[in-house]
Amino acid sequence: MSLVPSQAPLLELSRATKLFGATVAMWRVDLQLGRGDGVGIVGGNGSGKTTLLRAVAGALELDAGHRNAAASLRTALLGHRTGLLDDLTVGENVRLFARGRGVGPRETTSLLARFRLDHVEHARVSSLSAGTRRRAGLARAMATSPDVLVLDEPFASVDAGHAAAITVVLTEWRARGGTLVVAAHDADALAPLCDRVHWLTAGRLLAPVVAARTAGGVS
Amino acid sequence: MALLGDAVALARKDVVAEIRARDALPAAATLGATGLVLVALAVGPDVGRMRLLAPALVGVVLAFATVTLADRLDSIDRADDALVALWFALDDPRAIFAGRVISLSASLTTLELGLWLAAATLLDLRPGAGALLLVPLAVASSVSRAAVAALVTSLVGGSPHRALLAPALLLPMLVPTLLAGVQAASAVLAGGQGVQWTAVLVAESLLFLGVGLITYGEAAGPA
Amino acid sequence: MMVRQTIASRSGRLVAAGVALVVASGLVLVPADASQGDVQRLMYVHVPAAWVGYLAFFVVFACSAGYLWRRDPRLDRLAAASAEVGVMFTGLAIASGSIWGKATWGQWWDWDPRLTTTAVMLLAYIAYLLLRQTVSEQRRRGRVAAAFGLIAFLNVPLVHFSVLWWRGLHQAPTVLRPGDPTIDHVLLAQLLASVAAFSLAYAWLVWQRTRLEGLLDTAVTRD
Repeated sequence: MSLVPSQAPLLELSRATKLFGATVAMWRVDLQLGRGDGVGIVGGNGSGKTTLLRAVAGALELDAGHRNAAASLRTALLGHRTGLLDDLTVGENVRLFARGRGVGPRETTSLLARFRLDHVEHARVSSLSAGTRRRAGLARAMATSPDVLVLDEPFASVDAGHAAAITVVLTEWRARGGTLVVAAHDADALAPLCDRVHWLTAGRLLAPVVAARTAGGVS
Repeated sequence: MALLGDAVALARKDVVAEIRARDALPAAATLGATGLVLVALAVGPDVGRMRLLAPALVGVVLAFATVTLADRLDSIDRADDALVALWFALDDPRAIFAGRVISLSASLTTLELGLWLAAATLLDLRPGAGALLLVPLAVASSVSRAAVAALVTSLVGGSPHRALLAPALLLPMLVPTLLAGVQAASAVLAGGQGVQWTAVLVAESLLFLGVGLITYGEAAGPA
Repeated sequence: MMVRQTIASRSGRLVAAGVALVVASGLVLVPADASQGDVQRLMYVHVPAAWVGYLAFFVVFACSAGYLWRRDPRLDRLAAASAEVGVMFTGLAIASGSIWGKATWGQWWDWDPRLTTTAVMLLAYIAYLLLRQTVSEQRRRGRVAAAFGLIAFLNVPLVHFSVLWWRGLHQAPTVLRPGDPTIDHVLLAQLLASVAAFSLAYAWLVWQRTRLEGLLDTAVTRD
C-alpha cells in the first residue's frame, strides 16, 4: 500500500470551510482519501474533529470549498452518538441498517459475532452499557457496507479487550479495500489503524505525520 | 419499489418502538381525552350542544395530537443521530418520509377512532349506521394529517426551538384537514356522507405527499 | 457601492413620493363612493395591500422552488425579503379590511373565505419567518425555509376552497372578472394607481432588504 495515492482519490475535500456564526469550525481543509487508506485525525476538545468528520461523511454543507466524491460512494459515520434506535434490539438495528445493501442475515450475524455482540443481539439498545453501545454503533455503521467508514472516538468507553477486537476487524476491513477515517484526542490509539495521522487545531488540518506502524502496514 | 420496501420497514420500526416504549400514542390519547373532558366541562352539561360540538372537538384535539405525535416520532429518530445514519444507509432517503407517513397514518387513525368512541360515550353521539362511514373518513383525514406533519416536522426537527416551531408551522397547514374533517364528520353524524369534504382530504393528502416526496431529499437531509 | 447607494436612496424617495401622491389623491381628489361614502376610500389601501401580500408570497413560492433546484443564495435572500414585506402588507390588508368591514357590515371580523384564507396565510408566513429566525446555519436555513415556502403557498388554495365551501359572505369580485368592471372609471383609475404605487413600494422594500441580507451574508462568510 503506497503512501502516495496512485489513482484518482476516492473522496476529496478541497479548501473546505465551515463556520458556525462567527466560530470557525473548519478552515480551508484539503484532504484526499484513496481506496484502503487509513487516516487518523488527532485534536483536542473543540479542535473541529466532529465538523471535519461530518464533512468527510457528507453530512455537512460547506460554507466554502468543495467535497468531491462519486455519487455512488457510500459513507457511514459513527459520531459521538451511535446512530442507534433505543427501542429496537441490537440485531434489529443492525438488520434495519443493512437493508437494501445486499447484506443478508448471515453476514449481519457474523458481523455481530466479530464485534462480540452475539450475546446482546436480542437486548434493547437502551439497556446496553456505554462501551457495548459503542460497539453496536460500529456494527451498525459497518452493516451498511460503506466505502468510507468515518469514526469519531471509536474506542470511547470500550475496554482494552474489546478495543483489540475492533482493531482487528477494522484492519481486516481496510485490507479488503475499505477506507477509514478515524478521529481521537490521543494519537496512540490511532496508530494501529492508520497509515497517516493529521493534527487538527482550531479547524485547521496540519500536514500528516506518517504513523509508526505503516511500514509493515496492512498490505 | 425499493423506496416502498424501505418505507414499510421504517414504518414497522416506528410501530415496534411505539409498542415497546408506549410513548407517543398514549401521550396523544391522554391529550385527546383531556381535551374532550375540558371542553365538555367548559361548555356545560348541555348534551345537545356538546353533540353539535363533537366533530369540532375531535378535529381540534386531533390537530394538536398530530403535532405531538409527529414531533415525538421525529425526536426518537434524532435522539442518538439514527436519522443521519439512516440517511446514509438508505438508497433513497425519501423512504424515511414515506415510512413516517405510513406509521403516523396508522397511529392517527387508531387515535381518531378511539376519540370517536370516547366522544360517542361521553357526548352521547348516536351515529347509527353512519358509524361505519367514520372509518374511511378517519383513514383519509389521518393520511392527510400524516403527510403534512411528516414533512413539517422533518424541517423543524433539528432546531432547538422545535417545541415552538412545530405547532406554529404545522397548525396552519392542518387547517384544510381540520375543516374538511369536521364538516365531513358532521355530515356523517347528521346522516349524510360528506363526499365533497372527503375530496378535500384526498386533495390535501396527494398534494403534501407529492411535495414531500419531491422536496424531502433536498430539504430535510443532513447536508 | 456609493453609486448603488445613491440610486437606492433616490429611488426610495421617488417611491415614497409616489405612494404619498396616490394616498393623497385617494383621500382628497377622487370623489367619495355613492353608496358607501368616505369609508370606501379604504379600498385604495386595502385592495393594493392585499394584492401585494399575495404577490409577495407568490415570489416566496417561486424563489423557494428555484432555491431547492439551483441552491442560489440570492434566491433564498429574495424569498426571505419578500416574506417579510408580504407579512407587513398582508397585516395592513387585514387591518384595513377589518375597519372597512366594521363600517359597512357592522363587524370587525366575519369569517368569510377570503378573510379567513388571508389570515391563515398570514399565520403561515409568520411561522415561515420564525423558522428562518431559529435556524442559524445559512444553507440549512435556506433549504428548510424553501420547503416550507413551497407548502405554505400550496396550502393557500386548499384553505380557500375549504372555507369557501364552508361559508361565504364577501362581495363578489368587482374588478377581475370578464366584461366591463362595475365600479366607476375614476375610482377604478385611482385603484389601479394605488396598486401600481404599492407594487413599486413592495419592489423597492424587497430590493433593499435583499441587498442588506446579501451584505450580512458576505460579512459572515467572506474569506
